[in-house]
Amino acid sequence: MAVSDAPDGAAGEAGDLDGVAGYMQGAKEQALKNVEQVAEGVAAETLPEGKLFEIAQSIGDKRLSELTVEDTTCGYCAVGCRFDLYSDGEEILAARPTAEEDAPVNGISTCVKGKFGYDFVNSDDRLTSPLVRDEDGAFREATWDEALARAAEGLGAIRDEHGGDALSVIASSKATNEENYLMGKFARQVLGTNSVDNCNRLCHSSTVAGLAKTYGYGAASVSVDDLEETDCYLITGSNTTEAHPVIATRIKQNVRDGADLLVFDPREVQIAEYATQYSRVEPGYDAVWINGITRHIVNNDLHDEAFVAERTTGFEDVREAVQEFTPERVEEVTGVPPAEIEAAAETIAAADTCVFGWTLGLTEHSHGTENVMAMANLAAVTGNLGEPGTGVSPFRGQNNVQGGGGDMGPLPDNFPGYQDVADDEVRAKFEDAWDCDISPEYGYYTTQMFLAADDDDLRGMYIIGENAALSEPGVNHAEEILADLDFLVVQDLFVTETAEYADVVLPASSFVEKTGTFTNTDRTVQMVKQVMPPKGDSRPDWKILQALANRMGRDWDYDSTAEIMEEVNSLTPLYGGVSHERVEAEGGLQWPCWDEDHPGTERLYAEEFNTDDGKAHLQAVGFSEPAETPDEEYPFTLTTGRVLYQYHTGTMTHREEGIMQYTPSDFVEIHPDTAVDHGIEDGDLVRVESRRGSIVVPAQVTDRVGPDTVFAPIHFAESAVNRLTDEEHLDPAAATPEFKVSAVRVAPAEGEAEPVTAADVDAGTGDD
Amino acid sequence: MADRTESYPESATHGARRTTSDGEGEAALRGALDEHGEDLAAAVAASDELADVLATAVLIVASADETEIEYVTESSANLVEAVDGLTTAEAAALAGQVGENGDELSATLETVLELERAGHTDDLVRIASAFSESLSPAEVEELATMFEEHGSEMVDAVDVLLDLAREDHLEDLVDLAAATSALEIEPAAIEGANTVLAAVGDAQREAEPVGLLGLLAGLRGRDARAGMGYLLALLRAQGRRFRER
Repeated sequence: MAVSDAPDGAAGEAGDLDGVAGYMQGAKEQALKNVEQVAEGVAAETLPEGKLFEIAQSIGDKRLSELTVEDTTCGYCAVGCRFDLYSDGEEILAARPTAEEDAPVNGISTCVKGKFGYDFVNSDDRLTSPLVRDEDGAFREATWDEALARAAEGLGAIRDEHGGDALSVIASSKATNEENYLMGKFARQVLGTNSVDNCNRLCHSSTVAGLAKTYGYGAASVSVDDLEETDCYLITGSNTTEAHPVIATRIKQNVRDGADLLVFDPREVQIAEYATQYSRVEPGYDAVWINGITRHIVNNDLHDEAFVAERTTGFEDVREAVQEFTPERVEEVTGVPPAEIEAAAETIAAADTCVFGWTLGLTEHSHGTENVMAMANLAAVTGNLGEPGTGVSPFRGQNNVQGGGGDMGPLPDNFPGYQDVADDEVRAKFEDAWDCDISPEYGYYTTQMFLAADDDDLRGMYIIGENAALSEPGVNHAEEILADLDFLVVQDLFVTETAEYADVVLPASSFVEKTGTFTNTDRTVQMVKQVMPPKGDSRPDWKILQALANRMGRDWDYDSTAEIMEEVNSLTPLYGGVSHERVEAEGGLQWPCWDEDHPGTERLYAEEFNTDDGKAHLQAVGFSEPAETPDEEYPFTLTTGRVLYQYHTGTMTHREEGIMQYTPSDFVEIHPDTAVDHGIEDGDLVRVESRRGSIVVPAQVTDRVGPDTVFAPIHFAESAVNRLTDEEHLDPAAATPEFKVSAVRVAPAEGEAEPVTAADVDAGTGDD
Repeated sequence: MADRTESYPESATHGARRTTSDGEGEAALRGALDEHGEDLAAAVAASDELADVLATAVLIVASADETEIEYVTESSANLVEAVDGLTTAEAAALAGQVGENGDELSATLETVLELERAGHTDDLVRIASAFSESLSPAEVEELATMFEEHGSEMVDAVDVLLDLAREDHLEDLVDLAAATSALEIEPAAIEGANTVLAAVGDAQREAEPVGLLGLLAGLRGRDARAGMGYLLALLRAQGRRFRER
């Protein structure tokens, strides 16, 4: 623009308007005038459109040539959105759609976090140098040389004195597959322990256990395409629109086009607004209503007889087991009326295809594995597996919890590719490849690590990118454990609540600062590419692990993560054909991918299940209930969850000012009737108390929850809802804690509600 | 064993290494605001880029409503002719018609002025800063929150802005608006058209060769409304030309 025109206009034409008003008025007039001039130009063909287009292109190209642009995979949730990130080397400037063939899951869609959530990379409190403790116990800055030496010495001393079993590693599902592979290798080869685990223990490990037991693979059977074309969804325990927005969009579009959507949830979450049927359930009794649906289906011969006969075992056991779940009993226990169970059953049975989707509402229970198996039974008896538009779809949470948290084997019982540690042949393969002895005994699950440390069976931990001080159940206990450890190394982007207990803190790089792969919720391995250099002296996890391994007597010599992936595929049949070269060339590869000629597997179980006889092994699931049910003293059920604008314990999103304006602080949702009974009004401070602790948060009075249920989000350190949850009652198969059900009481609390301030945000919260 | 320690040396953080270039423009503006109080125009006048982007922003806000979009898309066949060459009498009539309706568009702009009249000059500086720094996404989000206090009309307008930002059109647009002044080719004629360019450019890049008809059909979405605003203004001008002949 002829710049000086605007202010002139402001002064000359805006009459009595001063200041900005005058300016804006002038700008408006100028702008309209410009449009007219352009119009005249076009009309007179002095500036044909083609010419204008060329100008636009050349300006755009020139500007872009000064920036780094890479297509990469999102580091927030596990939907696996890909997009181009633009950086000037200092910060991420923009996220834009990448070529559609390179974004198989999301196309051009991204959610608010993937699009805008990069302030954390350049946050002032981003750790850029290692920290160690001085003689007074205070943190001081250290060189990498010193910090690595201290870490090696501290971990090495425990290993030498008490054996490797006294050490554990918590790996990070935020890190790449290659890095997670090394975390597992580091634990077993360098430290000599099988106690390596990750955040999957706190979320979907019961999904993995339940699906592995029934179908063979602990993963979604579907592709995202199936989610777009199915005729019916049964979704439970998933706040899909807030936790997995891009998937939710696909579902909503399909429902708009006629698909049925059945939502069963204790909260009337937003996806329920799009549902053809929403049923409110009491938290903690999912297997009951699922079995009720299965019962109606099998008792009315609505099941897929051919599928059941040819592709499953155990059907009669299931048929028998579900008989106790009569409509009356289901209503009594879960609150779902018989008509709704019947309607859901008939809808699923009548649909040509159905996808069964869930997240942590189904899994974070002391009987989560049983819930998942009940769902797996339902999918199998209705024949909804292996065909387009059918399947089971647990929506995974962390960006790389499928790949890094599971496939890469930073697990106490599995090597990469779910190869059993107790299997002699498998173990020998890894002992040979890694040049070390490996115990056939399983190590501790994350949740068990904190209990084992109580008995001094565990003395040192190496925690990578996980904020256990906030994310573990019963955090009062977790904090005590962290403080009492003989030695703690924390590797993270920030000095998280967990790092505050560390002897050594190692600064890691974020996903925009390194190269590797993530595996998303539908098993697609996708490239993560470095868009900008690591901040300060921070380093990618794989480089830190390599340096530390070599300090502790090993001889790792990886030049790149591509090399690490070569080692992974040589030892991991599921990833046998996965290489950086192929992932890059093909825009993503879905496992199993057995060898370099195998095209990957779009949909699991098309031909057979991953079991010894190739059939689905249906499992009879009986009655189960939460470990802690409401009673007179603690009459309400607390359930926990997520909100759209925040992510986990907030390490990344709390550093985003715009995001913090949307959901700046914690709250508890209380039903209007309950609020009236307790003299609580919207916005009042409320004390929520369980047998393990209490928090004070503002009330949000809403009928989104039922009268006997209260809900609180998990994202805030200030109130740490996990002070209320239970660290002791774990799922017997998967050791998942019961985040979704705690008995609590509520009462008005004194004082004014205080929103989170910038200072609170800067103080930082952790990540998992 | 280590006690919980919340403090750590700032020298180990990015904050200590950060250069001070970030936010300089905003700081300068805020300084000027402090100094000159209500006389903001002078401060704004000092920044070339701001003038550009503010004018552009004002234009974006002037987006079409559903009825207008409907009207134009229904007439898309005629529009193609109109835009392609403006040779037939039909096209001339259409352009004239649309041109008259297009006058209503500018009413939306009044809401922007309302914002200022309500005393939110400080907020305006923030808008300006957000735009001048290539629309920091957080700032854009922030704007939405702020505008919620200023009536549904404003929110609608800002929604369009946000949609555009999410679809990347807005950044294109701002980039172009800011950069065009560096070019020698008929500067006065180019700037207002940048929005159209971005939309046309994107459409041509993304789409199969559906031509302008297909392009216009695609403009039903909210994210393309700003483009429609331009198109309407364009036709309005063309209409006037025809009437004057």
